Amino acid sequence: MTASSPVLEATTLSKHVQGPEEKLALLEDISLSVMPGDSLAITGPSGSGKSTLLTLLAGLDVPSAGQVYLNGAPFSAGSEDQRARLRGEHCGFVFQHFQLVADLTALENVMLPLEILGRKRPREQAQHWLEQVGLGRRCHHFPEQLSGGEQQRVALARAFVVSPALLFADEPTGSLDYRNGEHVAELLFDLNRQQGTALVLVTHDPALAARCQHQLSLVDGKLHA
Amino acid sequence: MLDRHSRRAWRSSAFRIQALAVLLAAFTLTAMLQLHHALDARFSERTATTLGGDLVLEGSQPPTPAQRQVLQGVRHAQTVGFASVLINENHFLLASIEAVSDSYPLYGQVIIANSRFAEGEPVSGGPPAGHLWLAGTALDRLGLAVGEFITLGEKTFLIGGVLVQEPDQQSGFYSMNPRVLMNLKDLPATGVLATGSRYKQRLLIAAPAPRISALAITLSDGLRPDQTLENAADSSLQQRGPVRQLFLWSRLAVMLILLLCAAAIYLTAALRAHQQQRLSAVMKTVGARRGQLIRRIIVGEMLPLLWPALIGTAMALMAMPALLSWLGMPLADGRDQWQMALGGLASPLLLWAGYALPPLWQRIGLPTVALLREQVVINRRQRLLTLLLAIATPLPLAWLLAGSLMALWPLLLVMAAVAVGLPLLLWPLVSLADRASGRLSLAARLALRRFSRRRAMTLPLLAALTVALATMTLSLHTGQQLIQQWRSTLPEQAPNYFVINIFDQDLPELRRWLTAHGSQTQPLYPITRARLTLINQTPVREAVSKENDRGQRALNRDLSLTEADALPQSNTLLSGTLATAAGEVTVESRLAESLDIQIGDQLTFTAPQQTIDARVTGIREVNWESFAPNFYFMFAPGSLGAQNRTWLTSFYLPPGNSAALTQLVQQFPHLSLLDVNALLNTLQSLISQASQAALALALLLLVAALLVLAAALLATGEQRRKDNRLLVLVGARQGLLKRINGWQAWMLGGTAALLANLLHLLALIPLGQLLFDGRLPLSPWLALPWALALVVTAVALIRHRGAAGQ
Repeated sequence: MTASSPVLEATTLSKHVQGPEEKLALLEDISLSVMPGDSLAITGPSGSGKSTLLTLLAGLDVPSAGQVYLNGAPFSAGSEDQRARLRGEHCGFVFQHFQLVADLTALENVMLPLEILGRKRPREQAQHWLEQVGLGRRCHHFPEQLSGGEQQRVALARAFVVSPALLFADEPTGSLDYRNGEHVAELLFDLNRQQGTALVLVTHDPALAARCQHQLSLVDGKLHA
Repeated sequence: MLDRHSRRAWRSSAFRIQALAVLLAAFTLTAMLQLHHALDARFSERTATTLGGDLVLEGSQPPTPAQRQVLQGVRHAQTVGFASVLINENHFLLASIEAVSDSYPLYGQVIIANSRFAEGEPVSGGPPAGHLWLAGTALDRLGLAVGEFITLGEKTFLIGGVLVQEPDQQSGFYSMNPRVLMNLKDLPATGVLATGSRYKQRLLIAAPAPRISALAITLSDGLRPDQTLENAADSSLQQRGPVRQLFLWSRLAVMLILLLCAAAIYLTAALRAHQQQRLSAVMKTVGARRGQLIRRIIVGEMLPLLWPALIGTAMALMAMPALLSWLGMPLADGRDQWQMALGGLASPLLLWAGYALPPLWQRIGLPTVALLREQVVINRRQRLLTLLLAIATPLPLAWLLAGSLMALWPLLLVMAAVAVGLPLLLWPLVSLADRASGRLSLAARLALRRFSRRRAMTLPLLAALTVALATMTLSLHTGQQLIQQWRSTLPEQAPNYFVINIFDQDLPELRRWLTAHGSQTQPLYPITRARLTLINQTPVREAVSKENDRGQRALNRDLSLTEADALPQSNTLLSGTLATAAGEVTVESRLAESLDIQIGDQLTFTAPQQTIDARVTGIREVNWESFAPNFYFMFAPGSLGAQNRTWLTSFYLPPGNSAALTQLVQQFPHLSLLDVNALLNTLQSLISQASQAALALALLLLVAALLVLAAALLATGEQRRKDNRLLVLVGARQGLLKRINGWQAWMLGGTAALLANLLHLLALIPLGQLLFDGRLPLSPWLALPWALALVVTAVALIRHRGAAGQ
């Protein structure tokens, strides 16, 4: 693995599901690669397969054909637990609906991936990242006590706390108003630059997509450059 | 449309659990109503059998024509009891004779044998005219056998059988004379009764309860001074200690099962309401009227539940008659069956209306936009109404079960206190645990958070599980304790024969006979017959201010006084000391209370040839249900003198020893031998049935508790799955999710077990005082909740499925 090797590579990915009458192709022959520090936007209309592609790239589902490599290691071929371990070590996630654990405080949500990975001093690191996103004083609040923008910032802190090589963001500003959306997007790209993290961004928003170095469009399960 | 809605409802796990709760409630209530009905009928019948009728008019003179007139169209029988002499050539024997009318007995059967010590056979009537049935001891003493003749007064009778048992034998253990049964038609021909003769006229009456109540009122008005009226309902066996406690306990357990079903119904209904929120919102958006939404609730939610309610009721209706028939209990008649079925069917529907309807109904009144945005806010008035409905719903069920709220109010109060008090008590404790959770492992901390962050749901659930487990262990423990206590008064080898009329000179030989036959014998008690005449030198009638039934009976007859140097096992000294020096006596507590007898009082008894004075040194509580000889007055040895003294004892002899009994009677022809095997068998079978019923109730309780647990897990399932998906997303492996599930089940099960144990031990203090005279040993049943917690945890671990795949 060298600096010029892709952090994420997908080769001829396909995903089929059995419909009521015939087999449906959700994704067909997708190949892409993301270099360290790169940012890639995947756009496309609803139903084009963006979310399906993200789940395959993140190892949350397995492709019907093709392979995903994470830092050069075959990712989609591993067991569920192997994929979870790799994901925890190398990937961060930001979602449209924040996806925080409702029963944990902001601090505990950020600590969570560190604790799962068994990293040392999770509390201090989590505290640091919450301060980075401007929520140092909201550590002990539960998600329901935070605004949408604040919840998304907690999600950003949780995503960056493990110093991931790759960040997946699925419509990260989709649930926020314009001002909060802008703030979160700013933070996302700043951190992406500062940490040298590669970014895979799925969005409808052309303005957000335009901030990425590369853009791919997905139509009917097929990629268009 | 009904089918479509019904099919859709059955596809939901929440609805299926709700349906199971409905089925269980219908089954339990219908079964319990039938069981109580059967037990009521059995106890009432046994009481009526023992008395001779549902209502018994007793007097020293025949009933008046007006009293007979009242009984037109009512089943009744007449008996005349008196003492007279049977004559066989030069042998004379004083006997207790009962002349009975053709309709005798109204309840039960007379048991007669063809020869002495032969197996008895039940017969449905009394002896035909011209026949006498004699107790075996009478035949022994007269040297006669069945088929020979005997004279009573001016008439000679054929001995038609050996009288083994009368259904209403009330001679008591101290009747010295052998029993004889004859036909009432023969009585005038004997010429033994004339004006002034001492005899006991009894009019036995059998009728349904309402008629008996009316007759009791009518007959009470016209009673002569010599007459008394006894009603079986007032002296039912049900009123006796252990039976009453078992009845009460079973009702408490059933009530708890119903409340647990209610909890499961509430939890699943809330989930159904949430699941259908979007459907309601869409229906409202496209113009559905309020009536259409209500119809959807009735057709889609309530009507499909009629099936499980019907199935539960039908299961109970089919299973219980078979069970009751196997237990030898009477079955309810058709009308009663229908009433019980309706009760059983109505109960789950009532629970549904009280606990499932409010969450469903509340959605109807909400604005469409609130439903679409899932912003359901229930206002204060609706919350209050829901709470009031939840409190009121169990009341008609308690009434249906117990016939009165009075019997169950302590339970309802305790349950309400636990249901509200336990969550309030636990709230700060959970907060404390939450704060201290930093040092726990990630899995344990996440499990604790799932518990502590949803306290409004988890704490009432914990309270419900705790109460269910505590009631289950208490039910098994105290139920078993009650049964053991009862059984200990009737041990396997409880005395099955009483021997009376033993003279001083018989004692060495009798002791040898008892030892030779390996009989476990109670002590031999000397008996002196005397009447209590003075209390502190004041005539007893003047001394006694609150004369009641017990006191009345004690004053109006000769009492059997005895001497003993130790307290019998069936007695407990409540106050004072044992009578140890000559001239000292201890008194049975309830009689002492009714006659106002205190320690230190001087009592005077009058016997035919002596006056006995004694000072009261102690008050004893007597367990009259034990099959051991018991006495109102027990004197210190040397107090009664040896004049006119006989002895009494009881012993156990295994069945099939009739030859030994023949030898005993031949050796001591003047002894009276009373066989109580039939009564013992009945009581022992009752104990066994009660034990099985307690176990069945505990099992039903367990099923109900598991239903609540399943409903709660289902209600929190969506959030749990979402959390698990998130954990997998940030790198959690299946092992961690498995451990979280395990911890969560263990926290709920283990905490419920711990609290159930504490509640159990707390309850033992008052229960121990109330039921067991302050003594209650710990029981292995306390480990049961822990075993269940382990099982639930094991199931949670085994059933864990990969969250990523969900």
